[in-house]
Amino acid sequence: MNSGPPGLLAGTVAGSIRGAMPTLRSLVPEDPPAPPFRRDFWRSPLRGVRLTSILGATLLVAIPLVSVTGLLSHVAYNPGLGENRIVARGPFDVLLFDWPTHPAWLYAASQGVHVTLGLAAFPIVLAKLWSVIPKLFVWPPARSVAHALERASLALLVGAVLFEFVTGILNIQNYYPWKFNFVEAHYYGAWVFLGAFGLHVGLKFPTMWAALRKPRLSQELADTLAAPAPDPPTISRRGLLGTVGAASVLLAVTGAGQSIGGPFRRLALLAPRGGTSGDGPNAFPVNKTASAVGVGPDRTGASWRLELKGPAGAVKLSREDLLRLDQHAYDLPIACVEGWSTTQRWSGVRLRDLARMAGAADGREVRVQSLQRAGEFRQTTLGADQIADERSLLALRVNATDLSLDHGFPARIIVPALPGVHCTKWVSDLEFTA
Amino acid sequence: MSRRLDAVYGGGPVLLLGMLAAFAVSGAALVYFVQSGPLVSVALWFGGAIVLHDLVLFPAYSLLDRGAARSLGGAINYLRVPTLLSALLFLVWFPLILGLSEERFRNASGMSTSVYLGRWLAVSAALFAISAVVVVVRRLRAR
Repeated sequence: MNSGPPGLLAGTVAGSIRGAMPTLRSLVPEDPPAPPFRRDFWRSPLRGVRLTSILGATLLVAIPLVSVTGLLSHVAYNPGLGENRIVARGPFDVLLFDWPTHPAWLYAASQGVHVTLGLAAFPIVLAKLWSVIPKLFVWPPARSVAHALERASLALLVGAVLFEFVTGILNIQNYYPWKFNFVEAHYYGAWVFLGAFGLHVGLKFPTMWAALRKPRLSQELADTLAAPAPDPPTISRRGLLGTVGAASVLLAVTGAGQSIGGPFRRLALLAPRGGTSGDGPNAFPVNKTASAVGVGPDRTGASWRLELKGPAGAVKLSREDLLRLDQHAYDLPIACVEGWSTTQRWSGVRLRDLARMAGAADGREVRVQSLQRAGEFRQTTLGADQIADERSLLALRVNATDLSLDHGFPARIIVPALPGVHCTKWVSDLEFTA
Repeated sequence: MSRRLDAVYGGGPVLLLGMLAAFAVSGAALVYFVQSGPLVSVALWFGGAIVLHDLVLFPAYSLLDRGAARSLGGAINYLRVPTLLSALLFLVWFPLILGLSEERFRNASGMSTSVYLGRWLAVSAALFAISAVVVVVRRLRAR
């Protein structure tokens, strides 16, 4: 029954039907109870260790990239600062570090990879599951304690991978037909996945490697994925892999433009921030409209004041006061956790200049509050590196014109490599800590 | 020692350690995962994803594919490939295509989901058109 060559772990998995098993075996009938549990029920001539290995090798590159960029996004939210934390503190927090501001495109690139590569990997995941589905109906259901545990870990693996892909894909479309907290479930679901994924790779890597390096050898081995009595083929293995590849490319092409921007944005026909957003200096995507969170001209007009607080006390600054301070302009990307990003020319007052005014020259933290009265991300806390970076701005203008209301008029935060939702719009208070 | 472990457990010490490590990570994460919302909702989406894929989606597309392959014979792939691609795009983008999150989407982006049905239909039409061109070209060349 052993499917793989004797590798580091593969050899030890299947070897044993002995020992503790007689007791277990007496509980299950020896003959498969229904057709799917019989190996000759599975007829596709394409299934086999070679096909599964090719798909597995592709995912072995894609899945770690999607996972690492996802975990980086968690770090980028600076959950250790102020009230930034959305996800319950847990054992994996040891991996947190201060999120850098260099390079400015770090979050745009990392989150663009997370979402676009995740979309492109989805058809490969589905094809991989198709290629191994006979294993779900293997008989007897468990040959040993180790085999039973491996199958339990596979339930976690498949459940978690589907959960992660489905919730991620629905989240970027703002569709939430569930009652749990998406961020928390998606984050801890990823760790459920990663434990099971590590074991799966450890167990199957030798088999995959052998099948890829020596395709002939793999045919000689007992191929438990191959149909014992296959139907005549209606498509070649190359044809199937080409179709899966085309599906990946199609999802990537109709999605990637929302991250890459420029002329590619038009190609992103099905992505949530693809196509165009009209014309003009303020015509670029947003993730929160002013009207949706109850911010209107009544509170952003001439009566608006920025309350600047710190060790030196509190001052109130009008927009004219802020425009009289040193203005600086930088081309910076703003990148959403949902994967899209856009680079614009922002101008305004440096956060470190405001820190000095507030009496916190080497500001340790700044708590930013928005006019937004309800909903998520109406406040954020930024760290020392983010205050110190000369490109970190309280932006007043974009592309040489005033910010539009949807882009955060009268003033918004823009910090290099910071997730978009932390670039708080409609800022009302800045509180620096020395 | 190793032989006794193999007899009881069905694997060597390396496998046992690997499994302990994997279940430690997944198990610790699971504790937090199930607290991310009402247990019913979390369990339904985790278990439901497996059941829906393995026992609904997979049998459904397999049966459809088998039925189509029987009735169409050799020409099946010219229909199979664009159908699969179009269906996959729908599977991924159905909330936008069907406008299921119109209000939230409008609040977030200031735009409407109404364009997506047309775009999906247009991309699908293009895929079938490409496939049709390939059939015609191949048939003409074969003459």
